[in-house]
Amino acid sequence: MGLSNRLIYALLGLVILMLIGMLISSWRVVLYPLLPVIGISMLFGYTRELPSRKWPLLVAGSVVVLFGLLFTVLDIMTGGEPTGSTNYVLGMTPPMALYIISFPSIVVLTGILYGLTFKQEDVQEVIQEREAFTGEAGREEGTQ
Amino acid sequence: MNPYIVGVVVVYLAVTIIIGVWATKRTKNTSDFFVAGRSLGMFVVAMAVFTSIQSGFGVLGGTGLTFDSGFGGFVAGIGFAAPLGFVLAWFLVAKRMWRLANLGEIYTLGDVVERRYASRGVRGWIGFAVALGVIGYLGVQVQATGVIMAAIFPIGTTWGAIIGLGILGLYAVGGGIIAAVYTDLFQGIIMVGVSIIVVIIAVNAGGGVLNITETLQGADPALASPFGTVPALTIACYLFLFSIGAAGQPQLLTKFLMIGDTKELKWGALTAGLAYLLTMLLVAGVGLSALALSTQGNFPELDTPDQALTRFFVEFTPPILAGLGFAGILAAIMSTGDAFLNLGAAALIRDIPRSLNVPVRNELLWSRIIIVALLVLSLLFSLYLDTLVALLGVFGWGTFAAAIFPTVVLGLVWPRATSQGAIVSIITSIVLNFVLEIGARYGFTPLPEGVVNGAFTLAVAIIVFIGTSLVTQQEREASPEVKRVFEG
Repeated sequence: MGLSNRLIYALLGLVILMLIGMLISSWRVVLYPLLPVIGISMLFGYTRELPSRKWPLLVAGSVVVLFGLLFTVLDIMTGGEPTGSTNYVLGMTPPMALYIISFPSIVVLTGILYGLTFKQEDVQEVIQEREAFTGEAGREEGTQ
Repeated sequence: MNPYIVGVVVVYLAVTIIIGVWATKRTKNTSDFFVAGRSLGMFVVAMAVFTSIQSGFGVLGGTGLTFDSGFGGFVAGIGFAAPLGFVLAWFLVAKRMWRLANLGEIYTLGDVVERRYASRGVRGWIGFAVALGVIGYLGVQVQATGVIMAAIFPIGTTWGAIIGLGILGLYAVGGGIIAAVYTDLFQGIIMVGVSIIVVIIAVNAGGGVLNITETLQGADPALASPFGTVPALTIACYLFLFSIGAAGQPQLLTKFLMIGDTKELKWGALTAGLAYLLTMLLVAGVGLSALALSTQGNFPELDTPDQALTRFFVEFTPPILAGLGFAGILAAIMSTGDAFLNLGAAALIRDIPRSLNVPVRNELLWSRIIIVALLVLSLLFSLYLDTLVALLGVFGWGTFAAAIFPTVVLGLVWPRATSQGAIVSIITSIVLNFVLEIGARYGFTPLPEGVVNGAFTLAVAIIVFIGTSLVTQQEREASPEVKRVFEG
């Protein structure tokens, strides 16, 4: 089974789980499968590197683990009451401070990881490939 | 209205017209009109992605929802998930869309899917789904334009909408997507700048973060929690719909077709995500501060929560900053409007006719004509069929996510996807979204409380797409150059 098939079947399984979560009104069964879905989405960006290298798994896995930690800690903190405790962190309730600081930070980190692992494509190579495949010259001009 | 506020907004509108005139001179053919001649750089594309997603709903509605339900009303789910969705879209399809755009005249999502599936049917259905969403989105932007213009100038909402649309038409008709993305850039800078300054003022007005928290906690402890008074199930659904679903928004996906060189993709995800997150400061800061002030009896009475942001600007910020704030709101509305006008023209002039094998001969001219028609139509809809507009507006994001994410995004990462899978999932998403949204208006709510219709439809559409593709496997393989696209 090819890599893209494995990823798509994993995605299918997780989305079915999320659908069940919606139908049984369990936010955890919706939210927690979403985290590996995020990881799978990232792995689709590394399908060329994945067969031979392991670092894409580390990159996607680290984002999934960070989100997992965030929601697990949040889940535990707010188990008793929505504000977690009577203490304040940076003027906010602890769960609020955790969420406001952590979620955007992980989003920014994911964007940085994309930039750091980005591999540039050669435009000329793509045009040559196309010519090789089709025998046509690349058409860059639009039509009126 | 204060003359400083009016003056700043007039300058803002004048700059958008100047950009429109400049872009009109640069727009020579269909490629320029739909994909800016594939010449855009990272910053322009990233800002255009951010501004076309950050709409009047996001700024005005988001602040209103936060004012109404706390942090969970908008920011915790939608506001944080959307920028994550930008980044995931870059991971999933940025390079693939760019590579596909190199395979000839690929200007629209219809072009993308016809090339991918070798199917005119898929092109037609994608065009239909986009056209439906465009009418809804445009109608909502028209209504919002009317309200904001009427709040700034001494005119009614109808004339406000007509003047706002006239200006939008001036640059969108002539300059196509070039005008759209460069006004988006200008508008995006205003939105980010205003957000950073106003959040500081908002926190100060509320007496500091601790005072805001204590006031909210005193009124209702849930208001000081990350999910506010919104059920956790709804937040989970929002996180799914607005992260994964962001990659299905046509105004985002088509931007990847406009890039000339892949190096421009490198930091685009970070830039677009960061810009969106900065505007969430405005939404959260003003929404929560206004809620705390209101709880203390220090905020004006509002007819609807959607007025929270504009009233805050007028009552709590210096006039010039308030003017920039109003310009920022108009920017959010107009930047979404111009993107959808262009998408609507693409669907109606290129995708649907070509799917029926009747290509339009002069696409550039007819695209300009159809944009005028869309402006008139959306104005009439917003004036006389506001229920339909409200419905299509709600319908927009969820339908785009459910119809486009599987067909375009999963279609580009999974070679075994079939045209039958694509068509069945698009039809499923349109029908299911309509049934659930219309049903909700008439008391038919088959889903458990807290489940977001769009999230449910997106999940069903993904399952239907993969399932149908698996049972309709074809012997015929994709062409070698399309196979190369799958590799990423």
